Amino acid sequence: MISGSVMALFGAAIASLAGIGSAIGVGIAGQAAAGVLAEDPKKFGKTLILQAIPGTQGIYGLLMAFLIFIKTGLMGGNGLADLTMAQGLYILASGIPIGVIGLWSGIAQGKTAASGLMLMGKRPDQMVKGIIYAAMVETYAIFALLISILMLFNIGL
Amino acid sequence: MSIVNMEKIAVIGLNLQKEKLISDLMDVGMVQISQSSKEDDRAENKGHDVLELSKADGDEDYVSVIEGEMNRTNIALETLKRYSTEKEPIFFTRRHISKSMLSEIMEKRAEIESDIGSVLKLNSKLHICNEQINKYNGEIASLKPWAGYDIPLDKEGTKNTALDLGVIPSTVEITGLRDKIKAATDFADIREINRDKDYIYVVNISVRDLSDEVLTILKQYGYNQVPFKGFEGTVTDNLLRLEKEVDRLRSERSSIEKEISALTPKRKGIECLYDFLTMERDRAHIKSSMRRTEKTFNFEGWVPAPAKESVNKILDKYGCYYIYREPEDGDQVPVLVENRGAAQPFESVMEMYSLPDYNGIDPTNIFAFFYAMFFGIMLSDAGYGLVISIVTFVILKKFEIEGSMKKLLKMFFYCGLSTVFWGAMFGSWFGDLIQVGVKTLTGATVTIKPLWFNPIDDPTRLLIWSLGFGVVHLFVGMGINAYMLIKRGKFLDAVFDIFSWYGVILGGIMYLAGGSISPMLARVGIVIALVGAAILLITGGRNKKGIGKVTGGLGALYNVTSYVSDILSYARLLALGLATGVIATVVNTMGSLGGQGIVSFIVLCVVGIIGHTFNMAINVLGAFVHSSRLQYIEFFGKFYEDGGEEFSPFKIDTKYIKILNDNQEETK
Repeated sequence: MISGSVMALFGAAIASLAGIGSAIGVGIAGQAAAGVLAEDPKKFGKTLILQAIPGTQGIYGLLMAFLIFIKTGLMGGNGLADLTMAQGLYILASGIPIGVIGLWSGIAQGKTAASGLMLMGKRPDQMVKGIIYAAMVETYAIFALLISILMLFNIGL
Repeated sequence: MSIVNMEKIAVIGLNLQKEKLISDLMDVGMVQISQSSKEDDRAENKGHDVLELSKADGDEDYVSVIEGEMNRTNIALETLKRYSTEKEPIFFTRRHISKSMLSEIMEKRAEIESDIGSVLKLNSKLHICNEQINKYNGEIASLKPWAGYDIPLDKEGTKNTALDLGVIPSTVEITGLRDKIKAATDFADIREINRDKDYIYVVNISVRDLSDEVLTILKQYGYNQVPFKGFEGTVTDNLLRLEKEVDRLRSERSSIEKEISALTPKRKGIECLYDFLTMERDRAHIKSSMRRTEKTFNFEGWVPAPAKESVNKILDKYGCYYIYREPEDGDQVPVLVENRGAAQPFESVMEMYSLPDYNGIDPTNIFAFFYAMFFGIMLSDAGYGLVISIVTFVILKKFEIEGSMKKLLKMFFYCGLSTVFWGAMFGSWFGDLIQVGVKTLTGATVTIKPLWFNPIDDPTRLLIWSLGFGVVHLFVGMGINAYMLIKRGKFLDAVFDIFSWYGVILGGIMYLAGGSISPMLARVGIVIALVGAAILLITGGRNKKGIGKVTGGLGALYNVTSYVSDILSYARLLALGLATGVIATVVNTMGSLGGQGIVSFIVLCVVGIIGHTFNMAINVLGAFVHSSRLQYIEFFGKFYEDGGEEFSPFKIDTKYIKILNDNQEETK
């Protein structure tokens, strides 16, 4: 039976897709990190920082999913609220931006972080610039999260 | 603002005093001696015959001798470090040693050097030991498959028969091969000793006269001889012998390692020698930047204006002639930034980007405030802020940390304080841990009121504030640019390029947002914005020719997109702030799923420690990176002139010890 509440949960599910992007991104960065480490094992801590950077999209997806849970009452312990089809679709729509953009930006950020790791391998003093390059990509995931949040909070539920 | 003024100094002195002068200059550490290259001299001394009179000073051979010795010392130190049983401290700190103490230690230099010698000897023994173990292990591996072969390995047959060991690929059918040999001759046989995934290990016996013939047949099946030259006795005997040998070597290795670790106490002396050699090397090396005649020497360099007095004192003491001059156009002036108080540690953010140009501006004082503020809003949890501040404070108190690490820790201390402030404003202490904790333990409900408002209740409100903070930040950056333009006498440029934008942005905001307060505000706003835009349109192409005068204005006006995107970029303050708060709440919710009671309180504590540690780590990284980004891209982009070269004076640059003057206290 498809009700508004089910649609809302679909929204949370779509939002959490951002985790795919992070998983791939962190994976790409991790491969590069291992390559850097092969040359100088002392850089483990530093490589870990750069590898973690594409992980944020997954967190944003999780965040959005939880916000939807709170909004729909799934987390409150009172059970799912009864939502109309239209309300459910509103919530579903709000999950899309971070889900889709998070997926792609996570991959792109992973590639940038991998290049940053290569940069760090050759010139450790330039590491922060590698981080900043990767953070440039993150801007768009942040914007997507913002759009998602504003959509969810301004529905008027 | 706080870029230290530099002056160029030229010095002439007597060679007799040179060594002492160099040593004193090193102690003061305030003169950057420039490399004297012949090309420079030619250009500067055109027509003079200075070049014929003077020649480059320095003895690079001596420098490389010291470097060789440093290398030996370093290997000894690394060996000691590897086998030391002492625990390494988490933070490396230099020991403090007074000058007289150091020279006292250096009196025993021969003793230290013999220590180094014995460490190196042990190290090379260790290497030989390891090599031998590897060799024997290789032999064991190659003998193992032959364990079932019980004829002594040195037996190559009898008078009339030949004995030969070898392998054939495991894909070969052994009975087929046998038949093949049988068909050729009756006086040969092969026997399988062992087989594994890749090979069959066989012994091949034949009448000596026929052995070549048999070998030809075997070779067709991929047979490969495996000679065991130099072995005596059976395989099992050899295996036993080798394994015993390896055991013996292993125990020898561990006893050598013990001997090395017993030498650990000698490390301190060796470290002192290393740093002593470093200084010696630097003093010898700096001479190659100077020039000399038979009786005199000269060099040029940069001195920060505030340090002139102490440098002069030394130069006067040794009767040098010197002259200062202000930097001229075309000089590559080194940059030294100096800030005081709370802003000082934030220099490290700027240093990570790039130092300002000598003629530019050091904005540390200004962006330090914004940096801490943005960090606080993005981390937005008072509990996390407290943890950061306390941890950094304790580290700074407990360890004598120096250099950029110290700056960074101090910076995080201030950022932590800012986080406590903003966390209290938003009412978040480890998310809602206190509320949840009290509820789990006693069932009572407590509320912690935010001092301002909770962003999760009204994200739009915080979004508007975030963008507002962004506009202020950008305006300050543009203001610095205007200040510099005016200082350089380009008042009109400041009006055309910066004040006009103030008008456009402020007017635009008034028009968009002021309408709800009063229609009058909106009307004034649109007028201001239009005036600003008109100025941009007219003056944007003022430095261009012909048609460029028109298109230049349009181009300038089109920049509005970049300002809009700059302002929107500050939306991350809200997004990252929310991320911390919501994840923290989720951690608490998950921890409290057990209901009420002592057990579930303990569960909450465990889940809380793990969850909050993770959340804090990832969000501190986020806040650090994005607060930096807002400075680098949005703020610095408006005015910053980078590319300064760091002031690197000739100074004591030691690794293990910090040398104090004799009246300063020393640590063990």
